Amino acid sequence: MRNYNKTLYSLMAILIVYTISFAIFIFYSVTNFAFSDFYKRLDLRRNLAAERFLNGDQAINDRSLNYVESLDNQQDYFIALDAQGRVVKNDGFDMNLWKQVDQEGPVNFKDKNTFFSTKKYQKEGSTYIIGVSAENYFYTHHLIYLRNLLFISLVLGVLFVVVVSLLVKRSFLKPINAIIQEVENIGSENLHLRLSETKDNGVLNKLSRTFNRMLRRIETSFETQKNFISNASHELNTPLTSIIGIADLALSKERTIEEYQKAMTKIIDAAENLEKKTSALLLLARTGYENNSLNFKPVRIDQIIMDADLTVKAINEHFRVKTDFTMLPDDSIRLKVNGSAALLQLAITNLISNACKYSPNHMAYVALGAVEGSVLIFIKDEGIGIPAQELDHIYDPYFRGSNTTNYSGYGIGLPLARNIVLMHDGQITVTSELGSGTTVRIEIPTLKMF
Amino acid sequence: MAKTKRVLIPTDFTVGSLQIVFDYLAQSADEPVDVVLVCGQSISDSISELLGFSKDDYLAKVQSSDFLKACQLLRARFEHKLVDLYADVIYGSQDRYIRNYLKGGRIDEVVMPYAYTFSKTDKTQEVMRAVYRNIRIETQKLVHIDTVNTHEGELDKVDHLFFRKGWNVTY
Repeated sequence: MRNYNKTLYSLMAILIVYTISFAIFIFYSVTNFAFSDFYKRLDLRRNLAAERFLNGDQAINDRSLNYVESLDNQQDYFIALDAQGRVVKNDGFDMNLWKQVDQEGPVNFKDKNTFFSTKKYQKEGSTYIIGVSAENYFYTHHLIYLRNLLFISLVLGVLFVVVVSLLVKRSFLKPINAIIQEVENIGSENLHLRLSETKDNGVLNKLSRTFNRMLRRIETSFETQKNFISNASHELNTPLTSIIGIADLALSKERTIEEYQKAMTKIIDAAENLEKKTSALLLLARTGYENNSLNFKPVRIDQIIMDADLTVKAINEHFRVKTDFTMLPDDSIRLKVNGSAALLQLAITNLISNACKYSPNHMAYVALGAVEGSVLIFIKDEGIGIPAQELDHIYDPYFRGSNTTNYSGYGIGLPLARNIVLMHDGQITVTSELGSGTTVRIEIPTLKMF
Repeated sequence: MAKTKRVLIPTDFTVGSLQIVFDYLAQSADEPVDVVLVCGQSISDSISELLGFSKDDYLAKVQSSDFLKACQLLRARFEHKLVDLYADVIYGSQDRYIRNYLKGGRIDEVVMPYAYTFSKTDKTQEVMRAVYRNIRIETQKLVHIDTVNTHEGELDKVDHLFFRKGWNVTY
């Protein structure tokens, strides 16, 4: 911010210096022009005076004077010098200015507001100095007016530059300050918050969008881990409890070898089940390490759904999935999307698990089809449904429907699935009817081949 | 290349009615077909209303985004034989008009879903009866499809094309 201020002030200083030098340049040029022009006019009148004094040709002079206007307070001087250069005759010239006149060649000078033009002439062995003086009206009146005008416009210009710069600075900083304010409100406990975005393509909007994308990746990472912990705490407990129970029961009293063998077989089964669950859960948790849209590759959605189906069944053996592939497109290229197979599998596994979990028959129906430019996935159940007034909150992290108290869960699966779908530029819609079931519709854009 | 067959299938612009198209395409031979989805619609007698009426506007109004999505699903599903799928409106049920429509539209087959009840408008039903009356056996073939209404009374959604009664689990 300090740097930004420094840049702004130096820009302002440059603008002000430029304006001042511009004003000075104009004033200097106009003054210079006024002087040289006036001296030229004086020179003309001096030449006419010399003609009259030296040649006495009054008629030519009179005629010329008819065409040459007389200047303000115009006066002609005629000074005759002797051979030694002493003044013999002076026709009203102020001798205090003599030093400036006593030179070879023509001389132009100025005393206060009066401008002089003099020149030394030689005629019949005698030397004369002939000069003309007049007041420069342009100099005395117009230039002062110009000076005042420039000064006022300079002051106004500087004021304008300062005010506009400060306003621009404020309007530049306002959205940045708003972003800072919004970013400060986001912490690990409310990672679902996002910066406000508009539709324009401005740099700040791009910044917000990029920041939101980064937040989505971070949130997905967090949620993946939470999801793993939540799943592990539920799903791993059951086989562990059964292993401990069987072992406890077997050890509670003396038993026959057959009974011990039976107990050991049950323990091995439960342990194998536990191993299967652990590997399925770890498969889902690995997504946390490759969660980056830069690593997206073309993946086939039907493959992902089949993998998710297997994972769901590995995590909970009671869950059943029916897949409707009757609308699969002829051309399998229509099922290819650019994405991360692991993340998409995590999202679909979560949605299918939810569908099974909240249905009395533990059955989820999955369907897949392709439309122009995208893939449609439906995950449907005939479960408890979501109350209509709660549909707006289902994506809030940790939110659980009011009718889910009998079901264990943390409210992580759906927000996670939604984030993953959004990362793939897709859309997710949930429709539900309380008591008769829920349908989740996912639409993910397909790979652009051309 | 085989000649493209043009098939007339009635519709009421619900996703559910596209089930007829699916059933027809699923059972038909692998030859190129153009499917014309027709619905019956009575139009006003008033000249001023007729001036403002256009078929494109009407079709744009009655085809919901879910219906269009479902059409796209069908197109992708039967890409190898479904050459074109478009909607049309039949405005009357007079025999002469229907005969001319079938002839002018070069319709090769007409699909009759007897068990299906069309919603929204009963004009489609009436038009299909007229089509049945006027079909020329020598040039046009009548195909019976036994599609029945499913998802009755529910909101019309794309997912009605899936999870049908007795649907086939492929995996």
